Amino acid sequence: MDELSTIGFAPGQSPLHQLDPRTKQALLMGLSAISPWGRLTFLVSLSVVILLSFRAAGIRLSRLIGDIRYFLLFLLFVFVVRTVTFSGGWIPNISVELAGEALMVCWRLLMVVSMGALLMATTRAADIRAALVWYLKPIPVVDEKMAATMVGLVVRFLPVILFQAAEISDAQRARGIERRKNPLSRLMIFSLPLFRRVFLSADELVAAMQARCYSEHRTLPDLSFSRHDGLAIGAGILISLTVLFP
Amino acid sequence: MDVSAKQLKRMVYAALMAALTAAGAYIAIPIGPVPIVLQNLFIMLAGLLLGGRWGLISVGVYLLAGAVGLPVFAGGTGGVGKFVGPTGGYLLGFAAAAYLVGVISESGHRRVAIDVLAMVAGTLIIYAFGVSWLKVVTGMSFSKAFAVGMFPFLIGDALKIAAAIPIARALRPIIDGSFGVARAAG
Repeated sequence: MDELSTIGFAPGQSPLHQLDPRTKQALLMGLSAISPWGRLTFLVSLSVVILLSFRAAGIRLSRLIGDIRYFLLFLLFVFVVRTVTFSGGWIPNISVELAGEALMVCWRLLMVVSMGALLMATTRAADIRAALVWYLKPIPVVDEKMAATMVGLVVRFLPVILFQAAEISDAQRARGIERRKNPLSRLMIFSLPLFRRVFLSADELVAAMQARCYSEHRTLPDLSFSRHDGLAIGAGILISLTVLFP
Repeated sequence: MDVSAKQLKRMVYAALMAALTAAGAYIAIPIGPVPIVLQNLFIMLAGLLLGGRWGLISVGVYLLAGAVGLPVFAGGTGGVGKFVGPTGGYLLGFAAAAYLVGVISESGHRRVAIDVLAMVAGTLIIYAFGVSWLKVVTGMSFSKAFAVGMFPFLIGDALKIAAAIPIARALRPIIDGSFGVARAAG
C-alpha cells in the first residue's frame, strides 16, 4: 500500500496545477513518444524544465526518488548490462562509448517516469477522468463514458482489493500456510478466496448502482483551455524541436 | 433483468477484474528464492472467466488507467510513458493474451486441454510482445533480451497455468450463476 499512497495528488496553486488536464496529458504523451529520438540537447532542456516544474509544484525530489527507487535500480541494471561486455574470456570489458550511449538510454527512461509523476501529483482524479472522456470521444469503437466509469471503479477498488489480499494473506499465515511448500497449492489457496470476495462485492456493487438509477449520462467537471495552456503547448513544441540538435 | 442491467453487471465484473489485475502487480506469494507475482495469472483468468471480448475490455481498462497516469503498473508507476519504456511490450502483450485466451477457451467449450493450450498461447504472445520491445528499447541482443525478459519466469508461468485451471473451474459457477440468475429473472 505504501507504493500507492506516495505519488498522489497534492493540492496546490502552481502553474502546473492550473493547466488543463488535457494539456498535461497531451504534453506527457507527446514528449514521451518523441523521447527515443532525443539526444543531449533535448534531454538537458527537458531535465531543466522538469526540475523547475517539480520546484514550482512544491514536490521534493527526495520524495520522487523514494517513489521510484525500484525503477532506479532497474535503470542501474540496464546501464550495467549495456556497458559491460565480455569479449573473450572472463575479464569484463568496459567501454566509454557504450557507457555514454547507455547513460542516454537510462536518462530518457528517467525523464518519462518523472513526467508521469508530475502529472499525477498535480491533477485531480476526477479531472483525469474528464480529460479521458474528452480524449476517447473521437475514437469510434470505444464507449468513452463506460471506459471512464470503469477506470473510476479500478481506482476506487484497487486499494480495497489490496487490503483484502493483505487480510487473506495474514489470515493464512496465522494458520501456518508457510509450512506448505507446494507453490501450486499456495497459488490456489490464496487466489480463490480473493476472487470469490471480489466477485461477491461486484454483485453488491451492481445492486447498489441499480438502486441508485445508475446511467451513463452524468455531469462532468468543466474543463476549459486558457492562455496558460497555449503557452505550455508552445513550450512543449519548442522542447520537442530540440530533438533536431545532437 | 433487462439488457442494460446485464450490461452493467458485465461492466462491473470487467472493471473489478481490471482492478484485480492492477493489484496483481503488487501481490506476490513469498515462496522460494523468487516470489511469485500474480499479475499474469490474473491476466489469464480474465480471459478464462470473462471470455475474449470482456477479457480484452478488462485488460484494456487496466492499460487505460495506467496510460492516464494512475499508479497501476508494477513498481507503483503509471503514465503513457510506461508503454514507451522497457517493459511496455509486456503491457500490450497482456491485452493480446487476455483476448486470445478468452477466444480459444470459448471456442473449446472450456475443456481443460483447450484451456491449457489457450494459456500457453497467451504466455507466448506476452513474451513475443515483451521481449521484442525490450530488445528495441534497451538495444540488447535477442539472446540477452531473452535471458533477462523471459527465461527466469518460465517455471513460474508453468505453475500459474497449472493453478489457473482449478481456479477457473471453481470460479466459473459463481460468475455463470450470477448471469444465470439474471437470465432466469429476466
